[in-house]
Amino acid sequence: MTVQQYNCPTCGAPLPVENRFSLQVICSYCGQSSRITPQGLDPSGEKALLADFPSILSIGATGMLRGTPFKVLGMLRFKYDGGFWDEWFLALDTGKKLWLQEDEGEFTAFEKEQLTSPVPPFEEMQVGSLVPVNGKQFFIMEKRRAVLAGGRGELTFVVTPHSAVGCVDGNAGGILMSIEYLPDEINLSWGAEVPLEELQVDAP
Amino acid sequence: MSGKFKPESFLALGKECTYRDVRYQIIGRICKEAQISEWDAEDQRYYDEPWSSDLWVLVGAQKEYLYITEDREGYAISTAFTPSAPSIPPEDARTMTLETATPPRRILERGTAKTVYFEGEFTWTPAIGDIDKYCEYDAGGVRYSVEWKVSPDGAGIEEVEFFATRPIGKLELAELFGEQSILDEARRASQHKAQYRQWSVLFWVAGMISTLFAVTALFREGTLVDRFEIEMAKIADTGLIRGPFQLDQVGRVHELVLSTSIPDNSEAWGAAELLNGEQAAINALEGEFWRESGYDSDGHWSESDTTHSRLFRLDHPGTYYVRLMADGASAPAATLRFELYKDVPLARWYILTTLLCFGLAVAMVKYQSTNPLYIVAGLFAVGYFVLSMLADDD
Ligand SMILES: [Zn+2]
Repeated sequence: MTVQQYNCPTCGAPLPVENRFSLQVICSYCGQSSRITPQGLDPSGEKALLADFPSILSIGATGMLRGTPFKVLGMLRFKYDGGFWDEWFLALDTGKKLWLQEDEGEFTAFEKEQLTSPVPPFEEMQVGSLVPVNGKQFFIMEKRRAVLAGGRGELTFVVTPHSAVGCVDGNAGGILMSIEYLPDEINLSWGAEVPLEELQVDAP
Repeated sequence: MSGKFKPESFLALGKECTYRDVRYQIIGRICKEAQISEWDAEDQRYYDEPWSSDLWVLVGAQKEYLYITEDREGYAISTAFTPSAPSIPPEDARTMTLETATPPRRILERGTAKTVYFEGEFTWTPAIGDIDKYCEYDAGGVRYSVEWKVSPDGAGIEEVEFFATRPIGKLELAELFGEQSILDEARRASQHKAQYRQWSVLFWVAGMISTLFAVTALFREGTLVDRFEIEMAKIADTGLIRGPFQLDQVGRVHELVLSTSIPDNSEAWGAAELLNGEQAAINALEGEFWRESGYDSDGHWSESDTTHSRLFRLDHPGTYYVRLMADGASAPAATLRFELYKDVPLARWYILTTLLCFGLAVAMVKYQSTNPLYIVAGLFAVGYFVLSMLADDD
């Protein structure tokens, strides 16, 4: 399944890139983020080494999510006042890509959806109010500012470590919805809580 | 720990329970003081009152959260849920729903709760002074609520959550926590309950038997010893002696009865003296007998008093006589009838026993008590009843 094998331009560690839509890869060893260009890796991004926190997931890990085999390709870590959460970028066997949010050991699977119309800026999103998003009424349950602390592995968009992000979580018609305001883009995703028994990770 | 906010129940940090096959541990407790507005279905209006409650936060092995609310009305278990129609009802709304399939329901309770104390570990950071507001309705016995945390400046909302809450009894909760001592205590209480139920049933049965005897006694006369009827005019001034009667039932009830057949609008006097073997009077019954009738604006009327009786007991067994006396001068045609009964059943004692037994049976159930005093009184009543019954039979 490996599409391209790279080496970290900074430390030389192997950096396999499996998703041909990936635009960025972050070295798990030194934290160097590099853009994936036709000419190879461009280590122009910032360097942000993440602390290791115990998790059942890691870059390259495989397992089953709700009965479907997956492989972990990348990860992003967000920090906020109360702590941090990680978002794991998973490639499913079905070809689908998923984001698995891990917050205090709780997992929520998010599937990205293209925004079909502009959403209000982060500042105007009011907790407790309803906002039309992609033809649905999005009820805002929580809103937090966070800082992108960094990441690992490959990502389908380019992120800059230490950049400010805004997260708006809520419910649209009984399904969890999340809007992430990144510096260069706004991501809309649909989520569902994943009980631990629906997530099995293979022993490394 | 602050004494003011001590937990009131058996719940404590670290305790574990199993709920719907998931093992949970109590990780924290938040004490809240609230101002609530509660719907009164009878009065069809909301009542405001202060309210305080403890919120126990539990977490499962897979990070499932469970909340137990404890207040003066008991316990309730809550879990977060994802509604299909999330919203926060406006301040003046009287109905709400969180599900597209549920039509709007009466808002049963709204409130503003302030965190006044907390202990334990949380996956968020509670603070004293945190303000939460909530609004809830009932659907199928489950309380659905929207709860929102007000931002410290009071202007905005920081977070919104939705909960489904079910009330749970203390025993059921104790069972989830495997609290043996509470279950034992409950078992003892139920045994105690069974005990007073048994006693109550016993007194109830005794009361019914006693009722039967009372009714029988009301309709039964004693054993006739002598009956004698004579025209009053034929009784000499010195009286008329009846007897001898051999009466041996000391302590039992006897009865003298005098009755007359007397013409209208006349009166007479009669008496019966009970004499001992030496013909000395030891008891007496006397009375005026009369019968009157006439016509007035209401038509014909008639009044009379034609019977007198006296109950007595004997101190000694032996031979007895009765002296009859009469003055029937104004009623020449009048007759005097004399009856002597022995072994007269007294309904009033049975009625008393009945009342006492029924009273005790009801009291035991009402006060859920096996107060020894009740039992002693009850046994006394039953004992008295049995003695009366035995005595009746000899
Ligand atoms: Zn490196």
